[in-house]
Amino acid sequence: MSSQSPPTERREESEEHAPRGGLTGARIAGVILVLFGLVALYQTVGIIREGGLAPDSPGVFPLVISAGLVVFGGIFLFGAFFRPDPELLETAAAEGERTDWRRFALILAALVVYVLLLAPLGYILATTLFFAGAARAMGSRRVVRDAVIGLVFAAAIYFGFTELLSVRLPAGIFPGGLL
Amino acid sequence: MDVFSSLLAGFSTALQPQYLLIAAVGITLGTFIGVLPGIGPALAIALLLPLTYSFDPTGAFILFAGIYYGALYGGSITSILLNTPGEAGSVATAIEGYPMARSGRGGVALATSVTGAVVAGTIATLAITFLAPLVARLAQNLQATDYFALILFAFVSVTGLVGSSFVRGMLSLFLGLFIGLIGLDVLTGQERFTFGILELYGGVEIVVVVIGLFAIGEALDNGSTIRRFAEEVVRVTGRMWMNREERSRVWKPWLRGSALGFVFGSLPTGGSEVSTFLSYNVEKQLSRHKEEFGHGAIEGMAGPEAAASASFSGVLVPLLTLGIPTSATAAVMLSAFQIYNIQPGPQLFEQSGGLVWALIASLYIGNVMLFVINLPLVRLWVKILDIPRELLYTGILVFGTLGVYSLSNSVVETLIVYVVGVLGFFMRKFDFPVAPVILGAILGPLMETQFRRALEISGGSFAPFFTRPSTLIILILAAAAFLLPLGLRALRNRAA
Repeated sequence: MSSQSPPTERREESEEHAPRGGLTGARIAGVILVLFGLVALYQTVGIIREGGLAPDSPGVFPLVISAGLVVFGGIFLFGAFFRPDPELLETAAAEGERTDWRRFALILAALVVYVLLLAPLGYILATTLFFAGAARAMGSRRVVRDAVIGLVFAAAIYFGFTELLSVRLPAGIFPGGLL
Repeated sequence: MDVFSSLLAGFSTALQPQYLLIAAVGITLGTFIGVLPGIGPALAIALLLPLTYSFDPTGAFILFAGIYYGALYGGSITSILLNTPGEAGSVATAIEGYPMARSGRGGVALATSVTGAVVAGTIATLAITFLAPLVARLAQNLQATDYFALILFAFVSVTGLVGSSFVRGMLSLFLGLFIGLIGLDVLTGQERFTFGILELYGGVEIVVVVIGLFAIGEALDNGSTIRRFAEEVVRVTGRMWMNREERSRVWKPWLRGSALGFVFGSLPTGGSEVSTFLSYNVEKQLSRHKEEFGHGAIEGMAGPEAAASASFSGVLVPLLTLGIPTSATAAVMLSAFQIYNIQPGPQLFEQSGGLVWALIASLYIGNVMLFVINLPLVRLWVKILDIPRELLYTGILVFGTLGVYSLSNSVVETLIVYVVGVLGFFMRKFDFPVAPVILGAILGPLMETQFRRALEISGGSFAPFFTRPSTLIILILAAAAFLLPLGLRALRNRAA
């Protein structure tokens, strides 16, 4: 913060600013919720076309539930535009401000790569790589330490589950269950 | 009359060395997981579910009871020392326990928490011992319409009473109901909301919903959070036990909390949130030390801690006798029952009496063990809080993935968990309650089945929903539970 501007003006600006950040987010969330409800409703039309709309047919609950999603999503969206809930905006703005979206995307990408590599690489190797990668994405700077901890963790889970609990996990590139 | 002999038989099962060992392992693991910031009992059970696949049902449920009590206490440790309550039920603990720890009374707060949990857990287990068989007998007369009405009641109370916003509560519930509909229709085999994905034909497992919303959602949220200030774990110093004055101040809150916890736990009001909230307010009203509230009033955490522990036994009443879970934890336990092909409900006490009584006996044992194991180990548990956050949340992601992958061995199913996790992430951002999603997902299909069964019996007529007295009474209660909070809110708004 710069010290030149008068403190009172500064304060007002930041108060104004915080809810606005939340407002955009709430509006986007509202639009997505309504769209989701409409997709559900569209699908329901297909279900009803196939199974009819007798009181005990498979279409009744989907109709009620997708209609509920549209209605409550609509109320939420309406609120976000015309009657914003100050508490919600404050939470959303604070959450939005402290979220690092790049990190979020990286962690999600690491998860997807992890599950795709599980079978081909095997549980231990894939988990070790994921451990180092995800910890790095979350801001860790000590890649070697993370990888070593990941290896120990993965090996403990692998042997604990396959030997003690007889739950099968992918052995991957180590044929015959490693070593 | 034969409650005692049944309970005795239960004890003779649960006291076998291997089950005692399982209970001890459950409590230790539960505490370990529960201490991790942001993780409550429901998630602890869901994460540790793969551990139980090789056990017999009795062993599995003894493990669950241990995990629950352990996780509850672990959550209290985190609330007291780090001010990060993992579940809504431990918010009150954080409000009073954290200031206590800050002022050098952390040891006392921890002792109050574990002792209160044990006292309340034992009282509530006594209550379930005598109440559950009675309810089960009553429940044998319930028909499809009654079940429909009961589930409606559960939905209304969980969305109406919990959380700040009615609209967001309803959206959470309907999202859960939607998830519950996914898959092939049980009666006709018709596809619903499967989007052509083969893995969705069998529906979305409740474990997937719980792990996704809680574990993946929580880890995504915390992992992507920028921390400007290092969180400080308050060191535990000084006395580890209550002194005379403190003892005299906690026992009444413990008893009141036990009663509130059990009663509201066994009603369909969704777990420990309502009872801990009520208990906190009751103690605040009754206390002679009102000025201490918010600054470390010991009775303000003793009551809610007891209520949270007692509510678990309370929640088991509708779960075991009606097959209706009313909290996220109970929902996970119901899905575990289903893995073992056991259907909770009125017949459970007759068909699987041995299992049920062993479970109830293990609740008594678990309470004692919680005390014996955790009182000396507190200083060790506190060390877990020193694990670097990025390793902690990476570990949770690994465990969450393991939980689903070891169950299904399917990449697509694991990706579905991540999708649910992203949903949980955004629900946290916009302050949507999570519990209604889980209840909707597990009770929605149950409700639909009962609804359609009722209509089949009546030949398509809705009359039985309004002419059968028991159904009508429950529906009226549900309407009252729906309208009351709305009315109160309107009144408050007018006053403001």
